[in-house]
Amino acid sequence: MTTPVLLLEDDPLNRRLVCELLSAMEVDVLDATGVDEAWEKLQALEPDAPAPIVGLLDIQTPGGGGLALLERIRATPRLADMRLVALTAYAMPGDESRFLEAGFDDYMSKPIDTRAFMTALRSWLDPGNRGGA
Amino acid sequence: MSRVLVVDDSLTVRMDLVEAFESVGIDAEPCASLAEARRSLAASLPGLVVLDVQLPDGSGFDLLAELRQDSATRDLPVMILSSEGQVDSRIRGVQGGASEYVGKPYDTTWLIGRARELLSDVDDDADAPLVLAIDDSATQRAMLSYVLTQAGYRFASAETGEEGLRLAAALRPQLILVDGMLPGIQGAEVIRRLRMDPGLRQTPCIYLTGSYDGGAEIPAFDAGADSFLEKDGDNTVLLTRIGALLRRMDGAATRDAAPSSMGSKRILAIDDSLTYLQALADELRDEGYDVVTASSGAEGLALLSAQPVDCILLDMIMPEMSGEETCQRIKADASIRDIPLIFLTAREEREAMIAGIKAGADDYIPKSADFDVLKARLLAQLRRKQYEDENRQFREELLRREMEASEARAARELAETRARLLADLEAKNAALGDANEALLRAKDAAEQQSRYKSRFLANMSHELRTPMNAIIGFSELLEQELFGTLNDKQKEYVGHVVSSAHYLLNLINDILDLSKVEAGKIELRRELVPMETVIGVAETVAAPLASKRQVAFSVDCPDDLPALYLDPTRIKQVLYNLLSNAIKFTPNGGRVVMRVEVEPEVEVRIAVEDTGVGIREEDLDRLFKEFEQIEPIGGVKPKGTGLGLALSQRLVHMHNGHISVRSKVGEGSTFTVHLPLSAGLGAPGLADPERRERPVLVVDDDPASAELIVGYLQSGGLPTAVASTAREAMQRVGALQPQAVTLDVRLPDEDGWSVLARLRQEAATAELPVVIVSMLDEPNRGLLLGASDYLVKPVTRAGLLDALAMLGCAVARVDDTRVVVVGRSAPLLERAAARVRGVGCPATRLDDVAAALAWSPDCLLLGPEVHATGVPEGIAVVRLGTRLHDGDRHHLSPEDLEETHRVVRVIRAALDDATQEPA
Repeated sequence: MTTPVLLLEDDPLNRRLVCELLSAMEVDVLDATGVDEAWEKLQALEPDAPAPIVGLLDIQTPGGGGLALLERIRATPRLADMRLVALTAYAMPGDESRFLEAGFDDYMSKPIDTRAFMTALRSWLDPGNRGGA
Repeated sequence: MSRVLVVDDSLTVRMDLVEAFESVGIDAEPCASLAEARRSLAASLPGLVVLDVQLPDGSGFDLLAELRQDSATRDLPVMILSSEGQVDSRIRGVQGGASEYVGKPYDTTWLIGRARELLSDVDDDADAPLVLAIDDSATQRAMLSYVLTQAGYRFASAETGEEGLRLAAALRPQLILVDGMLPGIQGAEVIRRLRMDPGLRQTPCIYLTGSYDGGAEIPAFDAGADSFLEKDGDNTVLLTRIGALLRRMDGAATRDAAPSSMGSKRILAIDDSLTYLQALADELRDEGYDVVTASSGAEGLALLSAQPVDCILLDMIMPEMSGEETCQRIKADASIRDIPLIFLTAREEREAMIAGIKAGADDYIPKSADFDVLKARLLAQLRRKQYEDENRQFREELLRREMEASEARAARELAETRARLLADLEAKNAALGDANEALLRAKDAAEQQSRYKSRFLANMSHELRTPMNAIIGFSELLEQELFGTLNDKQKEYVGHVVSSAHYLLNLINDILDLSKVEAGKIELRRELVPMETVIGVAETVAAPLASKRQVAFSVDCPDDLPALYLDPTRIKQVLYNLLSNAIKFTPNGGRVVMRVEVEPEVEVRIAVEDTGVGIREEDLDRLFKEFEQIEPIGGVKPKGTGLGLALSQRLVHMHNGHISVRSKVGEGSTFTVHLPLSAGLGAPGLADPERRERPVLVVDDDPASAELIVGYLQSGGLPTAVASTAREAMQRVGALQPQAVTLDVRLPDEDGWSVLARLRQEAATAELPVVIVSMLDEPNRGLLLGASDYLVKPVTRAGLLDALAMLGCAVARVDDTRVVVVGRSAPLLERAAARVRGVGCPATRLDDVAAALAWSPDCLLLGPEVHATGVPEGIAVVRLGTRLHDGDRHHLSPEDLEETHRVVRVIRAALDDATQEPA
C-alpha cells in the first residue's frame, strides 16, 4: 500500500492544517519538516513500492526548501512521475511562473482556500488527468 | 651684361647715346641703318633696341613689326626714338609693340633711366653698384664722387631733391645718399617720397647731417632712412656703412622691377597752331620733359587711349572739337580723368577761363604769358598730381597695413575664441561626466534601494501569509464542520474569525499592492484585449454582490468596442474595486450602472454610477489619497482599507489614463475610468488595416542582428523589410512608408542619429515610430533626438514587441498558445507545425480531432481533409490549405506559411474570435 501524498512543510501549524485536510479526505500523507527528512522518507520506501503520486512542497524550509527537494526527485527515475505542487506563501507577481519554470507541475499560494485546495488535490491525485506537457 | 642696339641715322644721336649708355656701364652698339641693325640682330640678340623711325633704308616700324613676328624677339624691348612728335606716329609705335616711345629731342638722363628699366625687365646686371648722392654742395658732391669712384662704385649726383628723385627713378641706383638740408624739398621729404614709390621703396638710403645738427636725423628715420652719417666725418665710416647696407640688400631683394612714378614726365600738348606747339615743345624738352604734340582734340584723345601722359596742355579754341569738349571727354573717361589738364588760350578771357574750369580743367594759362610762367604752373600741377598720387599710395599703404593688422587681429580673436570654446567644451564635458557619474551612482543607489524594498516586500508578504494560512485554514475547517458539528454560538464565532481573517488578508494584499506600485514593482502585462472581455468579467463578479445587497445592477455598453492594449488583470481589478464600492455605498433598493462610452481616437470611458450616499465636495480631493478615509455620511461606516481608490487611480495612471469623480450628497456618485486611445492604448492596427499591412523597417548593417530582429517581429505578426545603410534606410522609408522603424546607431555610411534627425525633420516622417536598437547605452540621447523608444542590444523578443505594441503596431502574439496540427497531409502539416514552433508556441501533430481535443488545445490547425465537427467553442480553428469548409473563418494558404507574421496574425485573429464568442 502506497502513501499517495508527500508533504514538505516546516511550519507546524500549517503542516497540521494540511494533514487535517488530507485526513478529512482520507488520504494518507508522508510528512516532513525539511528536505533531508523528506528525502530519507522517500528513500525508506520499499524498492518496488510505487512512489507517492503528489508532492506538496513548501518553498521555504530547512535544507533548501521545495526547490532543492524538487531537484532530487526529478533526478530520480523511479520518482519521475511524481506530480509536484509548490504550496507556498511566496505570492508576489512572478512567483508562480518562477516555480512552474523551475519544474513544478502546479502552484497554490497560501493562505489556501480550503475548498479550492481539496478540489485541486483530487485532480492532482487523478491518474487519468495527466497533462501532456 | 646686356647690350643696347642704337639704330639711328643721325651720328650725333648715335654718339650721344652710346656715350651715355657706356657712362653708366652699359654696352651700346651703334647702327646707322636697318640693314646694319638686321645684321647685328642676326649675330646676337641685344637686351634692348633703341630704334629711330625714319632711316635711309626704310621705316623703323618695319623692323619693329619683323621683331614682333619672330618668336625669338617677340619680347625684346624696343624703344622707338622719333622726331615724329606726331600723335599718329606714336600710336603706331605703341600699338606696333614698342615698349617705349620717346620723342626727339630727348632727355638723355630720362632715356637712359628708362632704358635701364627696360633692361632690368629682361636681366639683372651684375654691375658695380651705382650710388646716387643728392646734395646741393658742389664740394660735397665732388668729394663723394672721388671717394666712391675710388672705392669701385659708380656715382651719380643731383643738386636738388626733385632732380634727385627724377634721377633715382631713371637710374635705379643701388644706394642713395641724401643731404638733410636741401633747397626746395628737404632731405627727409625726399626719403619719404622714395619710400612711397613702388619702384624705389627698397633702395637703401643714408641720410647725411651736418655735424652740428644733433637730433636732425630723427625726421629722416621717421621718413624711412636706413642709416645716417655726419658730413665731414670719416670717409672710411661712410664706405663701411655703404658696404654693409649693400650687402644687406644683396640677395635679400632683387631690385624691384616695378616702374617708378618719379621718372621724367610726359606732356601731351594739343593745339591747332603748329607754330606755337613747336615752340612749346622745344621749351619743355629743354626742361627734360617728353613732349607729345597733337594738332586736334581727336588726335589727343587717340593718343591718350594708347599711351598715358602726366599732364595735358590743351588749347581752348580749336576747329572741329573745341578745347572745352575735348576736356569734357577726357574728364568723362575714368582711366585718364586724373591727369592734370591745363587750358591754353590766346586771349585772357574771363568767360573762357570759367568755362574751362567748369569743364574740369585744373588750371588756365594765357598763351601770351611767359613760357617760364607756363613751366612753373606745369610744375605746380605735376607736383600736385605727385602729391595726390603719393597721398593715395600712402592711404592705400595705410589701408593695406590696417587690413593686415585687422586680419591678424581677427585671426587672433578667432584663435582665442576657439580656445575659449574648446576650454568651455572641455569643462562642460567634464561637468557632464561628473553629472553622469552622479546619476549613475544615484541610479545604482536607487536600484539598490529598490532591490532592498522589493526583497523586504516579498519577505513581509511571505511572513504575513504563513500565519494567515493557519488562521484561515483552521477556522475554515471548523466552519465546514469537517471534524464534528458546532453549536450555533461556536459557528457564529468561527464565522467572525473567518470573515475577519479574510478582511485582514485583503488589507495585507492592498498594502502590498500599493507598496509594489510605489516601488515601481508592479509591471503591467499588456496585451491586446477586446474591451468586452474586461467589461464582461467585471460584470460577472459584481452582479452576485449587487443581488446580495438588493441593488439593481446593469451594464450599458455599445456594440463594437475597440480592442485595447492593456493589462486586463489590473483593469479588471480597478473596475471590480469601483463596482464593489458603488454597491457597498448604495442602500438597498438603489441602482448601480456601468456605462461604457467610446470617443473615437480620444478615449474609452467606463463610468460606474450609483445612487448612494454621495461624497462631500470638500472630500473629493482626498478621495484618491491613500490612508485618507473620508468621514462617513449618514452613519454609513465604510468598510475597507481606504487604499482601493488610491490603488485604482495609480493603476489607471500606469495606463496613461485617470479616474474622475462626480458626486452629490444624497443623490449618488459617478466614478469614471478614462483610458486614452491616443497614448498607445488604442490598437491602430485594428483601426487602420492599411497600416497593418505596411512593414516594420529594420535598419541594421549586421545581417545576423537584422535576421534576429526580423524573426522577433514576424513572431509578433508584423511584416518586415530590411535596410543595411543609412542611405538605404532613407530610401526605403520613402518607398515603403513603414509602420515603424527599428534603427541601429552604427551604420557604415552615416550614423543612426543623423538618420533619426532627418526623419524627424521631414513632415511625412516626423511622427513615424522609430525604436533605436543599439549596442550603445545612450537612451537619453536617443530620446532627445526624437526616438520613440530605445532598446539596448541584445534585445529580447518580448521587449521589442512590447515597445512596438506601445507605439501602436498591431502586435499579435501567440507564444503561449497551445496549438495542435491535425491531419494526414504530411508535408504541409509538418511545415505548419514547424512554422508555429518557430513562433515559440508548442505545436503537436495528431491524426484526428478527437485526439487533439484530449490535449486541451487553444488552437487547432486543421488539414484540408479534416472536418471541424465536435470542436467546442472557445477553441480557435484555422484551416490549412486553400479549400474552405462550411464555418471555416480563418485559413492559412501554403503561401501564407512562407511568412511567419501571417501565420501569427491568422492564429491570433482566430483566438480572438474564439474567445469573443458568447459563452
